[in-house]
Amino acid sequence: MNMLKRTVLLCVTMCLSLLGIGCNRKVELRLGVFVDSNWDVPGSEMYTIIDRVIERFEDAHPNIHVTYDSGIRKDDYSSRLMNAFLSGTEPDVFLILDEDFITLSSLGGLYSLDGKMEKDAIETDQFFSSAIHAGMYHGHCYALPLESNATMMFVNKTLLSQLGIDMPSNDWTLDDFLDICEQITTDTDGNGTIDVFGCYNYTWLDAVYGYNIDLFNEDGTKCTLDTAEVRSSISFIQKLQELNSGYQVTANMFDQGKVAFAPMTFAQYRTYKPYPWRIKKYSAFEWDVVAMPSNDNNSNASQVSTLLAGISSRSYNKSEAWMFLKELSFSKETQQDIMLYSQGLSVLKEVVSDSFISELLKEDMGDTMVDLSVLNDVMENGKKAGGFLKYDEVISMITSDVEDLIRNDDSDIELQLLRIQKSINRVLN
Amino acid sequence: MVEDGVAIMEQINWGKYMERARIGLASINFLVILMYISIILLGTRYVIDAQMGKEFLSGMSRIPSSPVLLYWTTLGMYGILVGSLHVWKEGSHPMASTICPALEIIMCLMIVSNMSMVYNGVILLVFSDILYHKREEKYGYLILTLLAMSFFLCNYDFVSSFLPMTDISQYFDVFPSNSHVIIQMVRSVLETSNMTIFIVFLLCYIANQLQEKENIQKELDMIQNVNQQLQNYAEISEKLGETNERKRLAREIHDTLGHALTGIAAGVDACIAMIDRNPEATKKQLFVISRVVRQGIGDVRNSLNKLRPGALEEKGFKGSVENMVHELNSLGNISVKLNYELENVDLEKTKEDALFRMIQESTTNSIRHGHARNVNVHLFIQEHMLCLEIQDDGVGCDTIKYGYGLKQMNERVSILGGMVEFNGENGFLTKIRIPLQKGEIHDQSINS
Repeated sequence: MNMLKRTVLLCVTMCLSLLGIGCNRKVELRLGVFVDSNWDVPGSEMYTIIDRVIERFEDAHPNIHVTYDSGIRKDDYSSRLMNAFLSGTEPDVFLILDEDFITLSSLGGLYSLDGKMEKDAIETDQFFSSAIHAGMYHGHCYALPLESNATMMFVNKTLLSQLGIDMPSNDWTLDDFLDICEQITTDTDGNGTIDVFGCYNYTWLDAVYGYNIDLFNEDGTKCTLDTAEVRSSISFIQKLQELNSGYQVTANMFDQGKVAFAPMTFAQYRTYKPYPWRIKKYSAFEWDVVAMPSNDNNSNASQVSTLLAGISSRSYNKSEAWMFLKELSFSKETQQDIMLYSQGLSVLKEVVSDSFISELLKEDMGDTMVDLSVLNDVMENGKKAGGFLKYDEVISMITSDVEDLIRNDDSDIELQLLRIQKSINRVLN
Repeated sequence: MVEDGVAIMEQINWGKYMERARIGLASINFLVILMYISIILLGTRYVIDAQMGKEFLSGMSRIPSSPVLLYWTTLGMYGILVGSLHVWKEGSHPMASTICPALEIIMCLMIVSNMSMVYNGVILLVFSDILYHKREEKYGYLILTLLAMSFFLCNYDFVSSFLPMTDISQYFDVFPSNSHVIIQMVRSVLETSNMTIFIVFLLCYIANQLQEKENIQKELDMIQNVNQQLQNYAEISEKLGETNERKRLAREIHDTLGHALTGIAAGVDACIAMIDRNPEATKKQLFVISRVVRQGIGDVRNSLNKLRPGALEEKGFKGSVENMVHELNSLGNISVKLNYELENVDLEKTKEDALFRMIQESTTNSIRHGHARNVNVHLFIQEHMLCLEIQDDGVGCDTIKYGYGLKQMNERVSILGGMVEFNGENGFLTKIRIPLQKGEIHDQSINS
C-alpha cells in the first residue's frame, strides 16, 4: 500500500513538473522568408519589414521567439520550401510563391484558416477582393495575402506629346489603344522603315484579360476557347501586329523611347519611377502608367498577383503561427511597412486609402496618373492567374498554340481553336 | 491403448511448425518494414540532395509525413506489436488475452496507415496470430473476418482513389536505375516470402486442425467403447440384482408363507381327519392353525417391510420426506419448502411409500424439466382426504405429456383409490387426493 502511494505521488509530481515545463516553455516559431522582392525588382527591403514585424510581435508575445533562415533568394526559395516539406522540417509560417500555392494546398500542406478567421472575426472584405481570393482553394482559405502587384500600362509621355496625342485616361478601351497605336506607328525620319511603334510585349493573354475572358471554369476541369470573345482577342492581336508591318519590336527599342506602350507591373513602376532608379532606366523620356485597356470602359483588365503567407498543416504551434500570420497580413503597421519598404501594394483597403500613404506615393512619383481610385479599382476587380494545379502547364500550351495561330494567320481560326480546346481538355481531365 | 499412445507420439507436431511460421512472419515483416522506412529516409535524402523536391512533390497527392518521425514511430509501433505477440501466449492472464489482440490490431492498422497502405502484409501477421489463438478469443471469427476485409480494403490503389494519400512507392523510383532494380528486387522477394510464409502457416494450421479433429474422434470412439462396456456391466449387475431379489423373495415366501401354509395345510388335514371323531381336539387344532395364519400374516408384513425404501424404514415418513427436502436444498440451486400438516395421521405403509415416491418424482421433474428455483410441497388433510400439492415456479408447459414418471404416478394414485391433477400453466402444479381409511386419523373430533 505504502509502495503504491509512493508510486502515485511520484507520478503526480512528474506530471505536474512536466506541465510546469510545458507552460513555461518558450515557443519557437520558425519563419520562411526570402531576401529579395517577389516582383523581381531591385531595392526591396523584405528583411526590414519582417524584422519590424518580429520585433512588434515578440514585444506583444514575450513567450514566443521568432526565427528565420536568412539569405535565401527567391529563386531558391520554392525548392527549399518543397525540400523542407519532404523532410518534414518546414517552417511554421512561410511566404508562398504564386506557383506553389496550389501545389501546397492541394497536397494538404497548408493549414486551413477558415476556423481561425471565423473565431477571430476577421472580415475578409477589409482585404482587396483579388488579394484574399488568391489564398483560397476549393472555397477554403489556406493563406492570407501579404502584398499584391498588378499589371499596368506603361506610357511614353514624350512620344505621345511629340505626335500631339493626348495621354489616355484610366478608363480607356482596347479600341482607343489600337487607335493610338495606329497613329503612332510611323516612319518619323522618312527613311522608308517604321521607327516608332505602338506597343511592346503586349501579348494575347493581355488581350484575353482586356476582353474579360475566362478561359477555364472555376475548378480548372474545362477550357473554353471556341467563343466570339476569344476570336476577337486573336483578331485584336493580329491587327496590332499588322501595324508593325513585320518589324519586330525589341526591348532595346523600348528602352530608347521608340515605343509608346508596354505592360508594366505596379512594382516596376514604383521601382523605376522615383529618383535614383529613374536615372538608370528610361531617362531619355517622360513616362507614366495607366490602367490596362479593356473592351469596355467598365471592366478591369489588370492581372493581379499576390504574395501569400500560410501556416504548415503539421506545425505544432498553430495558434502562435496564426497570431504571427495575422500580424503579418492583417496589421496596419505591417501593411504600411509594405508600402514603405517594398514595391508591392498593401492588401488592406484601409492602408491603401490612408492619406499618409497617398502622400508618400505622390512624393515618390511626382505628377502621376496613378491615384487611389485606380489602385482601388485594379485591386478590387483585377484577375488572378491560375487557381488550379495544371494551370502553368496548360496556359503555356494554349499561348504557344494560339501564338502559332496568330503568326500563321490561319483562315479557319474557329476549327483550330476547337482543336486546341480539345487537346487542352484532354490534359485537364 | 499402448498402440494408441505410439500413434499419438508418431504424429507430426503441426503446432510447432505454426509457431515457427509465426516467428518467420514476424521477422520477414520486420525486414519489409525496415526496408520501407529506410528507403523513405534515404529517398528523401536523395531527392533533397538532387534538388528534385519540387518535381517529386508535384507527383504526390498528399504531403508525406516527416521521414524521421515516420521511421521511429513505425519502428516503435512494430516493437509494441511484436511485444504483444510475445506476451500473448496460451494460458496467459485473461487481461492479456483481451489487451494483446486489441493492441496488435491497432498497431497493425497504424503501421499500415504509416505505410500509406502500400504495404499491408503486416495484417497477415496479426491475422495468423489471432488464428493461432482463436480458441481463446471470444470473437475470433468476427475479428478474423474484419482483418481479412481490411487486408483487401487497405490497398493504396483503392483508397487513394477517394482519399488523397502519399504514394510511398514513389520513393523507390527516385534512385538511379541500377540501384532501383536491386531495391525493387529485394522488395518483391521480401513481400513474396511474407506471402509464402503466411500460406505455409495456413497449411500448418489446416493440418493441425485435421489432426486435432482426428484425435478428438479417436478419443470419442474410446469413450464410446468405455460407455458401452459400462452399460454392459450395468445390465449384468441389474440382472444379478434381479436374480438376487428373486432369490430373496423366493426365500422369504418359502420361509414365511411356505412355512405357514405348509403348517396350515398339515393342520387343516389333521382337522379333516379329526373333525368327526374329536371335535374338541379339532377346535384346539383350528386355534393353533389360526395362530399360525396370524403369525404368517405378521411374517408376510415383515417381509413386505423389508422391501420398503430404506429411508422410510429408518426415519419414518415425515423424517424421510424432511431428509429428502434437506438433501434437495443442499443442492444449492433450488429451494424446496415443506409444509407438513399430517401430525395426527398414521398412514398405511403402502400410502407412505406411494406418497414418498410421488414427492420424489415431482421434485425431480421440477428440477429436470421445469428448471424451477422454488418448489412448495404441501401435505394436509381436507374432508377425509389426504392432499398432496407440489407447486413450482419453473417453465411449466402448455400441454402435459404423459411420460413414464407421470403415468407411474397416475397408476400409484389410482391403486390407492385417489386422483391426481396436473397443471402446467403457472409453473407446474401436481395435486393428489387420496381417501383415508378409518383409523388412519387420530384426531379427537373425528374419533368422537
